[in-house]
Amino acid sequence: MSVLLSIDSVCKHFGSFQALDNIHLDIEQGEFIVLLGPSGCGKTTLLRSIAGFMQPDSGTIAIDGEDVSRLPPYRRPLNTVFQNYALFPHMTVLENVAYGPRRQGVNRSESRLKAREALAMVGLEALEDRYPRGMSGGQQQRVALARAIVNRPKLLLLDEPLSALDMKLRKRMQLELKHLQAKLGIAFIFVTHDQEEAMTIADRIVVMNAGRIEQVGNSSEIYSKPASRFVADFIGEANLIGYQASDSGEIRLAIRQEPISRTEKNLLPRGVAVLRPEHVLVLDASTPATAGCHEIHGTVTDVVSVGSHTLVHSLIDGQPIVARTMGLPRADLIAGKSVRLGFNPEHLHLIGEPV
Amino acid sequence: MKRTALAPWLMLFAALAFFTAFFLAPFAVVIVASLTQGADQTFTLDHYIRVLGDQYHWDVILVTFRIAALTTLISLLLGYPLAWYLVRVVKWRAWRRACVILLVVPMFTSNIVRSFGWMVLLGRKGLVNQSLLETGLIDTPIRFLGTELGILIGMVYILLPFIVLAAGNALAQVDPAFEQASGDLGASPRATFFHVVLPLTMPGIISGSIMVFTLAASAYVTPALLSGGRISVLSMLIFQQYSSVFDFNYGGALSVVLLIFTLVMVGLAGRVGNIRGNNP
Amino acid sequence: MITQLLVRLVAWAVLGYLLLPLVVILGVSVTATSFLAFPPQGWTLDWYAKMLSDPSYVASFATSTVLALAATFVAVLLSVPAALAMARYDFPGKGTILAALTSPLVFPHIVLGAALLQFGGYFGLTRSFLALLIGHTIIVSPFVLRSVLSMLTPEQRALEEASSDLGGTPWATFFLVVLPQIRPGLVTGSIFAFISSWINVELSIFNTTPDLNTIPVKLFNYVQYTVDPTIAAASGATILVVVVAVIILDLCIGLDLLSERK
Repeated sequence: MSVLLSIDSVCKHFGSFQALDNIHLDIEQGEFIVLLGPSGCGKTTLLRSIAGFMQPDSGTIAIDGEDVSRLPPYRRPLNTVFQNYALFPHMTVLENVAYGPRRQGVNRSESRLKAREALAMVGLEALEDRYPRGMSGGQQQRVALARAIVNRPKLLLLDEPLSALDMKLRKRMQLELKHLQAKLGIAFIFVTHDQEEAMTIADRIVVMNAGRIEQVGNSSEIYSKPASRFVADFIGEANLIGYQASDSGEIRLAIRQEPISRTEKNLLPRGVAVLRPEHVLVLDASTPATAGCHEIHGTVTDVVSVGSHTLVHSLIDGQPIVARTMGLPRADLIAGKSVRLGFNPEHLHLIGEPV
Repeated sequence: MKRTALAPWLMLFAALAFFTAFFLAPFAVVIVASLTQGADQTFTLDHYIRVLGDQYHWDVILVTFRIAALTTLISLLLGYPLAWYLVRVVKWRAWRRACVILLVVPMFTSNIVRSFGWMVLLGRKGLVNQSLLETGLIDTPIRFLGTELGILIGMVYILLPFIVLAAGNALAQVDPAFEQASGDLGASPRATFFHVVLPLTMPGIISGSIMVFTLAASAYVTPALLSGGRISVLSMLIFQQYSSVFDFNYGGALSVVLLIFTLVMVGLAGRVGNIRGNNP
Repeated sequence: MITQLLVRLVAWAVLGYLLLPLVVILGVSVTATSFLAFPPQGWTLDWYAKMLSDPSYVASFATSTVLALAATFVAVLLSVPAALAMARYDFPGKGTILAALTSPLVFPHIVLGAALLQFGGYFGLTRSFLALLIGHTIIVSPFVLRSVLSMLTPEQRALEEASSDLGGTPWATFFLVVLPQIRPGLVTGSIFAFISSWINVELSIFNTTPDLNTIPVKLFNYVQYTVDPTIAAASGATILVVVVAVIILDLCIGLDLLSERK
C-alpha cells in the first residue's frame, strides 16, 4: 500500500487562535479515514486545507508525492462532498453530476453517460431530471456523492455529510458509504464529531483535539488503548481513575488502598487509569471474593436503564464510577444504598501523564 | 393568534380606506375620463385611437422607450462591475460602507438637483466640454443638452444606484459553497463565474433591470430639464395635458397607456424574481 | 488578473461619475463669480446667505420639511396597524392587498399626480397643503409598511405571545414589547419616507402655488429660466440635508448593505 496523501508539519492560526498545530499524517491508497473530534478541534480546517479552500501558514500537503500546497482547488486531484451538499439549484440532478466532467473538457454526451453511471451507483438514476429543490436530505446527499465520484478522484473528502439526516437514515447511509468506498477503491477522508459513526465506518480513526492529533489507529486500538485522557473520555464511556506508580512498578489507584495485583515497569509515576464501564462488575451479596477481582465499595447515586443495558452510577470514595450491566437492573440497586463493585486489573489501561 | 375573523380587517381599515379613496378612486376617474368625451360623458375610444394613430405621439412613445432601454442597458454595463467590486473585491468594511453611502446619497437627492448638476456639467461651457477641449479630444464643444445623449447621461445617473443595489444583493446572496463546489469539481474561476455565479444572480438582475426600465419610461424631471425643449417623452406629454392643455380625457388615455405598460412590466419582474428562486 | 483590474477601473470610474454632479453643485454654490463657474473662482458663502435671506426660499424649505414630517407621520399611523395585521393573520386576499399597498412604489408618480389633481378637483381638494399631504402620504406609506413588516418575524411573534402569557394586555404588549422590536424598521422606513417626500417633484408640481411651494418644485421652476449660483446654493443645501440624513441612517442601521454571507 503506497502513501497517497502526505501532510507534513501543517500549521494554521486565525489571529491568536491556533486551529492546526503541527499536523503530521499519512494516508494510504484506498483507505477509509475518519477525522474525529469535538467542534473547534480543527478537523474541518484540516479537511479544507487538503481541499485547497484554505492555505496553511506552514507545512506541506502532497498527493502521490506531488506538493499541492500552492494549487487552487480546481487543480487538485480530489473532490469534496459538502456538509450542506451545495447542489447547484439552477441545474438538474444530471447536469449537477455531469458538471465536473464537462469542466474537464469531456463532451456533452459522454459527460451525461458518466453522470448516469455515477447516479446508478448511488441508486438515483430515476431522478436525473429533477431539480435539487424539493428533494429529501437523503436524496440530495446521494446526488452530492455521485457528483463527487463521477470524476474518479484519487481522494474524496466528506465534511460531516450525514449530520443533517435523521438517525435511521444516517445509519443506513454509513453502511452504504462503506460499501461504495470499498467498491470504488477511492481513499475517503470523512469528518465527523460522532464517535459511534467513526467507529462504525473507519479503517483508521484520527482523533483530534484543539488543533492537534491525539491518536491515530483503528477502532479497537482507539477504544481499548486510548493514548490520552482526552481520547479515553471522548470515545465511548470511560471511568478515569488517577493512579500513582512507584519505582518498583507498584501501582495504586485513587479509589483503593491496596496496590493492584498488576505491576508494570517503565510507567510514568502519575497518570490516569481507564476502566470501561462494561468491565466494572456489580457484585451482589452472594458473590464470593476471588483473587483476580479487585473489589471497591461505595454508594449508588443513579440507576439508568435503556432496556438492553443498564448504567449504574456510584460514588466510590468521592469518585464517580459507572458500571454497565446487561439487561434490566437488579431490584436491589437503588440510589442511596451501598454497592459492591469489582474489576479485573488486566482491564485497566494506564496512561501516564507527564508533570 | 386569531381572535376574530374581523380583527385583521379592523387594523387594515384606515390604510385600505385611505388607499381606496386616494389611489384607486383617482385612477378610476382617470380611466373613466380616458374612455369618455364631453360634459355628458359619452363612451368613446377616440382618445386611444388618437394615441395610437398620431405619428407625433408614436414618435414620443418610441423615444421614451428607446431612452429607457438604453438607460437600462448602460446602467447594467456600468452597475454590475461596481456591484462586483463592492461585494467581491472590497475587503475593508469601512470602505465598502463609504461606497454604499456614495451610492445612496445621490439616490436621496432630488432629481431636480441631480439634473441641475448635469445641466451645469453638460452645457456648452460646462466642465465636460471644457475637459474634452483641453485634452484635444474634440475641436468644438459637443451639444449635450437637448439631445438624447444628454438625457441618457442624466437618466443613467439617476437609475444606476438601483441596479448596483439589485446586482449587489443578488451577488451577496450567492452561497460561497456553490463557488467552492464548482472549483472543487475542476472549474476555473472564469468557468465558475459563467456557469454558476451569473445564472444564480440572473433573476435578481433581470428583475432589477425591469424595474429600472419601468422607472426610466415614466421619468419626468430629468427628461424635462435635459431636453432643452427639443425632445419630449411620454410623461412630459401627460403633464402637458393636465397643466396647460387641460384635456383630461386625452391625458387620461396617455396615462392609462403608461399605466398598463408599468403593470405588465412589474408583473414580469415579479414572475422572473420568483421562478428560479435561490438556494433550496 | 486583467479582469480584476478592469473591474476596479470601471468601479472607480462609476464612483467618480456618482460623485461628480454633487461636487460640481457644491463647488458652484461657493463661487465668487455671479455666473456658474466650475471650478469655482474665488470662495464665498454669499449665495447661501442670499438664499437664506430670501423669504420664498425659506418658506419653501419650511413647507417641504413640514410636509415631509406630516406625510411620514400619517404614513406611520396607517401602515403600522396594517403591517401588524398582515404579519399576524392569514386572510383571503392578503397577497393582493400587500401588493396593492406597496404598488405606489412603482407606479408612475406623474400619473398619480395627474389623477389626484383631476379627482381632487371634484372636491376642491387641489392646490392646498392637504392635497399635497394626501399625495405624499400615498407614495411614502409603502416604505414604512415594508420596513415594519420586515421586522415582524416569527421570533418577534414569540415574544409577543410570551408577553400575553405573562399577563400583558394587548395595549401593554404593543407599547412595551412590539414597539421596541419594530423600532429599527420604523426608523428606517420613516427616514426613507421623509426623504422621498422631501425630494418629490412629480406629485408636488400639480398642487403647488407661488405661496405654497416645496423646494424641489421651486428649483424646478427656476432652473428652466435663470441659472445663477443662488440656485446652486439652494441645491447645495438640499445635498447637505441628504448627507446628514444618510449619516443618521448609517448610524441607525449600518449601511454595510452589500457584504457577503459567509
